[in-house]
Amino acid sequence: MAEASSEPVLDPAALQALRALGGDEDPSLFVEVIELYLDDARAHVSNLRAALASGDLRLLERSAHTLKSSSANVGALNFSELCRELEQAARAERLQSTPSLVARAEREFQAVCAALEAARG
Amino acid sequence: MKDKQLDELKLTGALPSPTGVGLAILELTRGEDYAMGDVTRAIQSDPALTGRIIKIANSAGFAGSHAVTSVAQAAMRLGVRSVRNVALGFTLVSGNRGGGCPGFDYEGYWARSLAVAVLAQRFAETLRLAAPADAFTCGLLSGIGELALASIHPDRYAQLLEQRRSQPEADLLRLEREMFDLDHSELAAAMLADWRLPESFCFAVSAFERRDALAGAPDEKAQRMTRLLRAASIVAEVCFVARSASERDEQRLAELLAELELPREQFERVRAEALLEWREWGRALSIPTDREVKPAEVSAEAQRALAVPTDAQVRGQAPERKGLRILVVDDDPVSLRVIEHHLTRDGHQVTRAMNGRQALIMALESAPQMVVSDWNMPEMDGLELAKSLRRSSETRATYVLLLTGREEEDRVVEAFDAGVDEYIVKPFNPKILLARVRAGQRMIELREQVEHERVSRDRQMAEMAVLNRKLEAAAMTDVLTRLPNRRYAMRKLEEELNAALAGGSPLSVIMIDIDHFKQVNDRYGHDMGDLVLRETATVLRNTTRKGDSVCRLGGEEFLVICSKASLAQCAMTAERIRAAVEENVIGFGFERAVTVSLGAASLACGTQTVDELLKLADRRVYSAKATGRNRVCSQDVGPGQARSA
Repeated sequence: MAEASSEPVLDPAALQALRALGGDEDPSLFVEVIELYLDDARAHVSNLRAALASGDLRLLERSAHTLKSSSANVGALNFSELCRELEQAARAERLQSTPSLVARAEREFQAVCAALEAARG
Repeated sequence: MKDKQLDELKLTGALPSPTGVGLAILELTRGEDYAMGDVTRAIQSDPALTGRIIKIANSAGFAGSHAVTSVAQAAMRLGVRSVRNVALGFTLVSGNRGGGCPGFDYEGYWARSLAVAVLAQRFAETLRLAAPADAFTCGLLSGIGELALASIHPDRYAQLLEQRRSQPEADLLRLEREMFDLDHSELAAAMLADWRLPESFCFAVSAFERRDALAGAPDEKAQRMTRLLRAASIVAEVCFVARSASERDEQRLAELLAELELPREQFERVRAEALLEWREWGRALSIPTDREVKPAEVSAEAQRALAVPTDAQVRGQAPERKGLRILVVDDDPVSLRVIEHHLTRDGHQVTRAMNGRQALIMALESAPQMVVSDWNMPEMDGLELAKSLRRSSETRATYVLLLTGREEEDRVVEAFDAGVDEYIVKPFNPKILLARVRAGQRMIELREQVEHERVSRDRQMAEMAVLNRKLEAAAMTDVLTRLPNRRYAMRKLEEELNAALAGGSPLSVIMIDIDHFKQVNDRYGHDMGDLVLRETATVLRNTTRKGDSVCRLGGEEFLVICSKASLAQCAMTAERIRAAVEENVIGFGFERAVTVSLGAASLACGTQTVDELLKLADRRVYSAKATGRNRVCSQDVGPGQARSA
């Protein structure tokens, strides 16, 4: 379980790889990717809450799945792991565990946003 | 416009016309059928023209296939007709760079024509409305009527242009008609027809500037070419040619895109590519294309492309390793952007889609060589996308590289069954992705090479077959009457005889000889003799049954082979012929009927060979002549000629 993980919010190695992406010729690519991620992830995180409220397990699974892979791309590994658990819970229709997982995901996402905004500068 | 009117204009010697090699090509291709070798040889005699033809063959529509390096290969790829037409177009450019009309901007004219050509070619490729090389030629010649009017009436056309400058909204076509009783669009159509360019070209150049452009199009081909010219000329005017931009331009462009159902993004790509190509052609043909561009109007994309032209673009040559056209599909924008970045940096041209359905639509439109797709996506997943791509003929050969998550890895067999070519597990090292793409590229290039070789082999075989058929037909045809000749008659008779003997069916022949033919020749000359022969041939053709073969054996002698006909049936046919020939009065200065004597014979008469049958028929012709001519003899008559049946 990922509760109170001692892992950092963002994996420094993944972040470093993203920074190196554009190389010297295109340093703005890093910023662009972070913004792409934040825009897309915000929409999906609010989907999680909406899906929970309406009991739409398909939407919950779908958004959790997308968040899982895109978050891994930017090094938000804890958040990605939470989304993986959420995806599985939704798929298995474990209704009792989904509200707390969504709440944890939302908290973790706040931390991811702050960390990424700091990294973006 | 009447042919006579054009002939008169031609006599002035002022009409723009192909020169040098172009003239030679025009001469070589007067008829409907001409040999590829003749055209390619003529083109090769001009190195500059050779280079341009090869360039056309290597440009739009054939990216990724083998580079063409000779005119013969270009002719193979584009078809000899297209090559002929392109060559003609180019010689017009080189022969008519300048002229004596003071108000006419010759350089600007060619720069604009070239823009229309390149845009028409690109639109043809994107919208699949015509063969790209044909669209190029038609675009290049789309304004030839204006050039022609300026050449024929240099001073008055200058006056007309001056008048138009003071009232820019005036309809140029109307002004032309008022001044010359002729406008540039009908003149252009007449000139193109005179150069034996396809009917669709002629219609398109005459119609594309009209408001009701498509009205009266002879066929769909002409309609499509007209739409291409219209689109190309509007875009050339709005985007390429320097003048002050107006709000109406943007509106016209939007209307055009809606009409073409062309998405803005795709249009911007076409425009950027066309702009680059236009400049390349401008350099190749020494037509100044640089001064014409409105910098403010050039899209950001085009500017980026223009800012860093590669060396290869500057030299007008293909880069060493060409990139692929790749469509990347992923619902995760980060992953999409990152993959795009890596692929673009490796020299590929990348388009993006956010799900399978969107990707499928884009793939059908732009036929990418490779699709790199995520598996798990909303709307349509990667597997369904692969299956759908395999179902359409346009995308059947598209290489599909699937991105899979770890949890999906044990289902890859399912993916391969769906038509996926290769997969890579996420997260992946970008170097591995690029290596997989390169491996795919080798596969794609091999496939395309095989396909290209198949197409050119098929075309070659088809050309050979046509040539063989023509040679064979020529060897079997009488030149004067266009009837099958004696060689054909003998072969055919042999076949029919064998079939009749084997099947027990009847077979009859009618031998025909024109009465007093020698006298006609002697008295009225050989021309009249030839006329009589041709007229008789026509009557024979019209009075025989469908299954009968009419042949000219030589001189004034004809043979009709009536397969499966009894002697009685064939005697009736013979009588019909006799009466028809007699009725068909030919004027000899005075009127006199030509008559024929006919001998009918049948296998049933006891003959067993072709020779026997013909001898029998011949003997009966002789009997018909001996008993007064202009008659049919179908039995042996007279003493000494009787023969038991």
